Amino acid sequence: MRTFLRVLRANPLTLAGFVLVVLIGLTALLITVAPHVLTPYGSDVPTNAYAQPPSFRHPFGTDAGGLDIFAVVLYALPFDLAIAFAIAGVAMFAGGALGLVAGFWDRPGTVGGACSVAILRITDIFLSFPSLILALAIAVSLGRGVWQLIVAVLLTWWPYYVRLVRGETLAVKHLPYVTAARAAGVTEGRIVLRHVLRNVLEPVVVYFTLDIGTVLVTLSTIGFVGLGVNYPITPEWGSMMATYQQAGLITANPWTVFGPGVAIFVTVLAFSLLGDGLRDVLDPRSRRVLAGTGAGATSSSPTASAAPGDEGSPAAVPAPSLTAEGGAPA
Amino acid sequence: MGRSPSDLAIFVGKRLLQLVPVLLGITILTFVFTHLSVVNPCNQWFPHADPTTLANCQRQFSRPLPEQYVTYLSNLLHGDWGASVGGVAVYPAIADGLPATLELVLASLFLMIVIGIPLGVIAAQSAGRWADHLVRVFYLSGWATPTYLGAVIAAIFVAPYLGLPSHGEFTNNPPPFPQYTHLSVLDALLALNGPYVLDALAHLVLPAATLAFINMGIATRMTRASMLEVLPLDYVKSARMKGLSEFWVLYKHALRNALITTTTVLGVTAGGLLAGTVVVEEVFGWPGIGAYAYTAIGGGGNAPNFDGAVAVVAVFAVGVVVANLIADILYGVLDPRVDWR
Repeated sequence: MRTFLRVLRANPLTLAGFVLVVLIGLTALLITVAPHVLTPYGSDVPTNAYAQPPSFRHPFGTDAGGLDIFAVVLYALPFDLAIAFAIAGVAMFAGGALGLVAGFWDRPGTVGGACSVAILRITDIFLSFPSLILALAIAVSLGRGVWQLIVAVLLTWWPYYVRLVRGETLAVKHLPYVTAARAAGVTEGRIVLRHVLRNVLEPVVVYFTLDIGTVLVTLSTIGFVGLGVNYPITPEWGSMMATYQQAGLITANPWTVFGPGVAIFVTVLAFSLLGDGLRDVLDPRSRRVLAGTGAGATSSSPTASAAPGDEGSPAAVPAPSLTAEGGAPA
Repeated sequence: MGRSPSDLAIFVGKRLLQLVPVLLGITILTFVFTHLSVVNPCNQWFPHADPTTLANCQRQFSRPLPEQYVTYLSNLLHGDWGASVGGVAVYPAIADGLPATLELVLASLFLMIVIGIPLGVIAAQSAGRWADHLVRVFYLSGWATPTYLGAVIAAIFVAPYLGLPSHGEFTNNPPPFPQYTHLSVLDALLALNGPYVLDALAHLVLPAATLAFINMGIATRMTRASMLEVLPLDYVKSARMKGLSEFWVLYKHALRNALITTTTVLGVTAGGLLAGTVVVEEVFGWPGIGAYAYTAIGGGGNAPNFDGAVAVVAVFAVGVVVANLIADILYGVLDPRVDWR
């Protein structure tokens, strides 16, 4: 906790990201519990102002059907956030568990080794598809709807966590304290859950923070292509954009795309600022610089140069940090 | 250590061999999507077909799965990738669009390298200070911009402001010269047609810049990180002590080693760049496979073209695999620590 505060203090951008994330979370909570505090309009009740540009009464304007865009954007927030957390969360647990297994029991010639190889090969195949495109293809076969959307993205999302957790597990499992635990007669399962998992958790949580933004972007892109949820029945940012950017509408009422666009941008930026800042602290190369400015002063000397040329497999070189970047924006 | 030219052949050969299972895996995955995940594939593929076609199709699907897979694979290798509901063959359509997409992706990769890498150097040089923060806000802004938002803003608001075109490859399409490569700029250059070269470049710049801006973060971030690793090393210090200018120290001595790690960016961004083409090409009317994917997937209310969607997804996957292969080989060649044998 103290480290976390120190990190926030060291980099103003990380702090800004954290404050924004907290504000966005509070807004989502408020709009679920007491929406009228934030906006007098509903997400499905037309006002009597049609296609009005932004004004004091309607900060993001209204659309041709009379909906207040600000209200719709706010109502979409909890929905978008919940889906993003659900997808990234399930992917983290499923992919993380597989990565833990693949990383810990990887001795060739054992059952675990065979499982490990199988998991890694399947992961590699999934990783060779750009996740957005695979998600779009799955969404086509499943049809439109909230659950279909979640399943489509989820099916493409777990492999990144397998790679990340496996890399971290490999790094942790040969450390002396694991050997000590084994020598003390602790069972394998217990070592994984109590000793390895706990030390793998930190980079995974940081990646998860960054990942929320990426999931949000992917979700809204699927919505934009027209395979997401059905707007205006369910308010969602990407589907809003898809509806409002159609030829004619956008040139007539350009402000209609402004609201959902700003909402996605700010939300994703908030999570990215926080996640990117936190990741810097974990990256030994940047940690050195941070240590110089006062943060992470407790960090030990960097061990980064151990990576290159590892196992003669250059693609896997900066393993954890590289896979963390694998979740390329959509 | 094996690093003679003959060892390089072994190194590349090994990488190519490793490609085989991945490519097979991709076909298995797409096979699963076409043949298993759909409840009634025949009705999905031939919604308005006559009874004979439907019966033929159903007979095909009642055969054992391995047999179906072998047929699927042999069709794939023979260039028979199916057809859209309207009867337009998939393979020629994708083959036509591939060069345009390649041109767009290469152009944005170029912009990413020319802009993103110096930004990473600047950020590393002033790590923890305002220039570093500014660069971070810039690349995270790209990261946080959904592709469609960037593309729509660029096409509808930026293009008229800068007086740049925002649709297609040329103002007058088709151009008055033969298109040998189907890369618009290269074709105009080959035809020695000055005005058309400028026209093609003007059409290319906005879509490429949009894609580059959105994917810039990875290049900048990795350059920054690897520069931070290199800057405290002795050889950089001695270059400084020799009295070389800061620019020379950073861009000749430090960046040269830092860039080795950054080559992996090529592989990492390939997925993002290719995925981005789906929306960018659609918004900018760029005649590549991204726009084809958008239509095939049923984007914008089109009827989905199942064969087309599956094929184009597989092509994208192969693109990512090939990009990773190139990055991998490049890394092996550039980093003297990698053993080629």
